Amino acid sequence: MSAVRAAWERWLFRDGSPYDLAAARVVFCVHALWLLLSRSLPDISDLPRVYWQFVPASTRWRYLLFPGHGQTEWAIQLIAMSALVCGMLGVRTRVSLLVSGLLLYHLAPLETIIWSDNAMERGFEVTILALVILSFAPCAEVWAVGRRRSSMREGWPYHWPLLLLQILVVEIYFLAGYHKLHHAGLAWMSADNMRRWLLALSLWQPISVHTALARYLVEHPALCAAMGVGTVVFELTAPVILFVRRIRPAWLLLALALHIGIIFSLNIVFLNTPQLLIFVNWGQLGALQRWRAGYRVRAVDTIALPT
Amino acid sequence: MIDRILVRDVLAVACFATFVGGAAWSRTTQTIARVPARRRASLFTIWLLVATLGIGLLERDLYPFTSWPLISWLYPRSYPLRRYILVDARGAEHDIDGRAWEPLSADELASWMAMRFMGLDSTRRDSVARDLMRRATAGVERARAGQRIGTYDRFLGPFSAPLFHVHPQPWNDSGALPPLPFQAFQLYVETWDPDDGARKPANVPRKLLYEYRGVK
Repeated sequence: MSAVRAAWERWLFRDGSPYDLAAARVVFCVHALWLLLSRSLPDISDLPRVYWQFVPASTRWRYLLFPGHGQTEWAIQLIAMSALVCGMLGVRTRVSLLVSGLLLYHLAPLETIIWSDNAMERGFEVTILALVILSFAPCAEVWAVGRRRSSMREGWPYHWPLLLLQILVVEIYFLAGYHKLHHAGLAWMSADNMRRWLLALSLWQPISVHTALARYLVEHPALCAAMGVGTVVFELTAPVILFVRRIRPAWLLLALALHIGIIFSLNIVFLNTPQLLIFVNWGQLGALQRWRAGYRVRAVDTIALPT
Repeated sequence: MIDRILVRDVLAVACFATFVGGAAWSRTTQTIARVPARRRASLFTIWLLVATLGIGLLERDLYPFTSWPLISWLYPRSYPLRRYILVDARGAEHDIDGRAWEPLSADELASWMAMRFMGLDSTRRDSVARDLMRRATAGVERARAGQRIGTYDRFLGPFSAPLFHVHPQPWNDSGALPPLPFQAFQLYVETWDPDDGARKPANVPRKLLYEYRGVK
């Protein structure tokens, strides 16, 4: 038991870099801004009431979303975006990240609210949780406006919050792989199933944009089967990167290739892809910056910061 | 009788509130606490793993905690898909550029049409059809005037985030713009067989579910 506990603590409480955590802060804030600026979520509130007819009262109260308040929603979105900009710049991160996370919890469901309470696959799921976690973490030690430090610290308080964010991202892959096997069994990986998915998502006219890759793949059953097996293996083994850091660069390249392939073969865009940047070793960049500035490094166990 | 939706919504709020509270309680920047920082971090990590994996594995979505069942089923031999089209004065059918529906995204409108539209009474269905015809007409007019068709790209232009599904943008080609006015809105269910659809996409079997004739 003590061995398990020791392994758990080694995993959770290894030294981390403030650069990695600061990079995560920037990644999630920029990603959320990108999505907010690419949608018209507040305008959903002003849709004719008939679209809102099937939204249960309890769901409206759950998110505090009610039809006919578009202007209010725009004001809320403006506050959320201001908070995200502050978070990105590292200004008052305790408040700005918490406010942006809570306001996104309110705003993000607008995208699907008329037919579902679950705005999955719309890009904000992990972001909402990540912003809350980051708001209570020392994520503005570096790469923050107005923050000048003469010494740089390393320690588990920089690693642990980042690990939580990485767990949330990795779970997407793991759960996607699990559900494929749970719902469809090994047949999900069959060439026949892959072939039908490729045809359906590339040739049905309302979503038919990229077709060449799908048409090529469906002519090659071995490639279809390899695609099915490769996808499930990749997804189910994704948690390995939480433990084996040295494979992360290769895994990230594979993930990027997978998502690009999915765009061109299945016409599906995985909007969380930019969040994979939190697995990049930003500490190396930071080390270069430290070396140039002549910073000293010391390890810390707990941090009391005016965040 | 227990209202399952109410229970789900209450659970979801409780879960998110617990998450926010747990994150605050376990913060590493806290200096005064009865429980050591590492212990708090451990406990919150365990809670987060149990919550996210439990919700994920059991498929009890409590947004923002979700289960991620991404294209996780066997694609059937044939599958009924809803398709809505507009008909011009000559009787020609037109698919609508999805940007015309914005602020409704093409993905969300498709889901709403598939799951909710036929549950409306006929008066409300007609009001939706009128609204969609109005949006489509305005979209065509904006495209003809060289303006943006939708609203999603008003800030970031071509760098705007795409939707989950990639959609064609036929109205980028001015020659593909349908003539106005539209005369009718039609909703079909298409029995989409991937193999047949690939061989002869124009011959997908379809059945008219609903029609609204606007301008006589």
